[in-house]
Amino acid sequence: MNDLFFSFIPGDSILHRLDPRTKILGLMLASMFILKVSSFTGMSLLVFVFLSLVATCKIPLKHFFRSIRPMLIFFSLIFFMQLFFTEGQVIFQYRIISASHEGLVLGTVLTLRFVFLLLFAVLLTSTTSPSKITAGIERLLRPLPLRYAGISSHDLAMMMSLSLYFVPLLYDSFKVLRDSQLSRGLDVKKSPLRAIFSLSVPLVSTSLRAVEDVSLAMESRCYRGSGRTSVHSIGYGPMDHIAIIIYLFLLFYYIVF
Amino acid sequence: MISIQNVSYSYNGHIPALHSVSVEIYKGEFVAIIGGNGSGKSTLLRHINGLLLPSAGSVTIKGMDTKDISSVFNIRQIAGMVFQDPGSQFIGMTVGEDIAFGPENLGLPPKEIRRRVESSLSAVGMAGYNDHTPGKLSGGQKQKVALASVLAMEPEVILFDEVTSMLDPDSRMDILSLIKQLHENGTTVVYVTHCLDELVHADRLIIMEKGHITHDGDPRLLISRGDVMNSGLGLPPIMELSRRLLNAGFFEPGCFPLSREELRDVLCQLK
Amino acid sequence: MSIEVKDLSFCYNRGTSLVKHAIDNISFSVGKGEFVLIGGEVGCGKSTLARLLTGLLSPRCGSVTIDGKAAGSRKVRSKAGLLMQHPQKQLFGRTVYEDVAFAPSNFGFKGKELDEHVMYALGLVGLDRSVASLSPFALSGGEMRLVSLAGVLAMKPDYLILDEPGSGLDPHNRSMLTRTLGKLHSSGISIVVVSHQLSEMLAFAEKIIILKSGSIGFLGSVREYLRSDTFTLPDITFLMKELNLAGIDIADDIYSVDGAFSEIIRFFGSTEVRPDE
Repeated sequence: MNDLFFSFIPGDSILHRLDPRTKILGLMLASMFILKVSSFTGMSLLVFVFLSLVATCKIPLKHFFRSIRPMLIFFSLIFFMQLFFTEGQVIFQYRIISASHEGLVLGTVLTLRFVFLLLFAVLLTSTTSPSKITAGIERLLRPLPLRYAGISSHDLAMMMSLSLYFVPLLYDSFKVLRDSQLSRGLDVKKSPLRAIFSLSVPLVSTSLRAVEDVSLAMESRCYRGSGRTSVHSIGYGPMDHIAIIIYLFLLFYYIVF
Repeated sequence: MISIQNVSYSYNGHIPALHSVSVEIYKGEFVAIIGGNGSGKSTLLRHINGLLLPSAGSVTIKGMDTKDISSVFNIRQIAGMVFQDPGSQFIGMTVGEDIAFGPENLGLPPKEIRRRVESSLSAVGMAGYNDHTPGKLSGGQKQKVALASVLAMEPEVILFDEVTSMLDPDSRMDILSLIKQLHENGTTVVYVTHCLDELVHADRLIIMEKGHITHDGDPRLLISRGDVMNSGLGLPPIMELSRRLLNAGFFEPGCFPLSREELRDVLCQLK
Repeated sequence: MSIEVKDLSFCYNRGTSLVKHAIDNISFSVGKGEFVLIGGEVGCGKSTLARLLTGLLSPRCGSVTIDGKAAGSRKVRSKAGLLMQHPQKQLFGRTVYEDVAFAPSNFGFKGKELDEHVMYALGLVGLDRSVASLSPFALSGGEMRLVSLAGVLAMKPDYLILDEPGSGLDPHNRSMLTRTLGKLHSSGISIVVVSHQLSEMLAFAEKIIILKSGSIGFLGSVREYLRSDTFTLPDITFLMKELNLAGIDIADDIYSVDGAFSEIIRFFGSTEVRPDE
């Protein structure tokens, strides 16, 4: 499970060394462009940017394809929804189902946008350790007046990193439960409803227990929402300044055009 | 150092888990608290660092009351705790980050945090594991990391809650000798267990049963007198053998052998 | 009528760089009514083997057959039951009855027959029928373990496989569990216990297998095991061996307190031997 979505691959490339805040801001900027782009040239420019970033961080391209694989069903759903439900010039007809030219274009663009969003996000998570992302988010959120809402930027960042942490944990206990019930004769295909019920009850109770355990461990290690420091001394370096300058130009371009 | 006065506690308002328990724990002691499943031993332990607050009575560490919200932070820094399940006490995504969690909460500067991470990792013999994922370590290694993450806060007391019950015999011995070493270096140790063969290093034994402290004293005396057996715990084979040899007049209660090594030496001397 | 393991191999993460050989070409059998202990250090493949025996995992090479049919196939699925590690985490029924009834109802039993299966299982583990209506989470740790065991026994398996059955239990509950397993064994059920602590069950064991990084490091009787040096021996045996080495001439293939006591008395003489006299 660890190998699927958000796996951090340690390294020492430029991307790895950038301040997490720079990378998070970069991802936000990239998302803005991704959501705006609809032309072929724009798309190929994004591909070019992505590929050159991948080249600098020395992570095999295969890693990124593996990351989007679990989402393929979702992507094809988006694509076919657009293809069949957009009205326009019919290019294919079978009984009541018809695909339109506009649908094809819209579907392709929309799907590619999602693919790009995911790829750039994976670029961030595979070059930045989760706790650095957390530290980065925390620092970015710090100026916001969150305390009026009764939470601190630490709490918010902690929540994010803990939920990332719980995904593999839950998956492991799910596997154990499934095995235990399969060995007691559960037939998932024959009685799927029964399977869902009998698996979800202990899964919920184990995860509640896990949450309780972790919160005890956090409490006994003096967790507090404010006044924390981070093991990662994050700070901007020359590369970050260059990146920020590039961002400003890009932002200018984005607003003007 | 730790003073527990007439503490009672019940979960969710019913089923009392502790009945007016009083005990003093002094600086530098190695206290083992022993009892069966559900005897209240873990509940008592969780009162010491304020994870649980007494329904009646009071708990103080170095004069600070655990009920006083302003001192809870200091209390938990002084009294660290290692839990039973090695898998469920990780907070960080890598070993180094997990150990850094405590010092981060203390608000230490990054450089000092990194120093503490390094030194506590090497203290448990796991130097170089900084970037490992906790999930991929063995049970014994996980428990060592958990201990390191407590050491990184530089506590004066460490509370151990059945820390070996999910480990294999080899890792158990590893952890026990680490704890012994810590005690020798001056850390006060409170060790909760249901395995009698783990208290070889303890210099004081507290036996709990149904929320009461039934016995408190020298481990050798308590075991040789049979107080432990009367508490329904059952002796491990070696101690059982020692007791039968004691009754057959092989040795005095004062030098009652607690471990295989001790029994072997006593018998070899008799030859 | 037996479980036959033949040239069995299994590996995790096949085809990736993380490939890990968990079981490497092993063969043995578990006869009808036999009590087999499988030991070995952490990571030697014990738990993997337990899963292979019940067909939860499929072998990469070789085979596991139960009464002549491949493990995990429809006809023998109820014949081999597996109690996994930390079974109390796997309870889910609102009542003990509901939880224990899970397995037999999966095999199509209803009404009176289902009732009979549940009561049979509760009886085997020595739980009173009055607990049937309680929530399993209201029970003590030891009782929860017995409910989990009953949940497997309710499908009336001929072979019972247990992975670290005593872990997390206090000595009192452990010996209760050991006695229960002894009773099950004498009622004719074959039992395979996978554990890193063998000493408690040696009294029942007829065959001992020690795994060593996926292969069989030792296979033989209890007596042969006590004389070997393949794996952590029981404390008492270890002591007897050490005394023997120190020149005290006593039998060293003993694991029981009674046996050790009478051997030591035999050597030293039963009269008062006070060290300071």
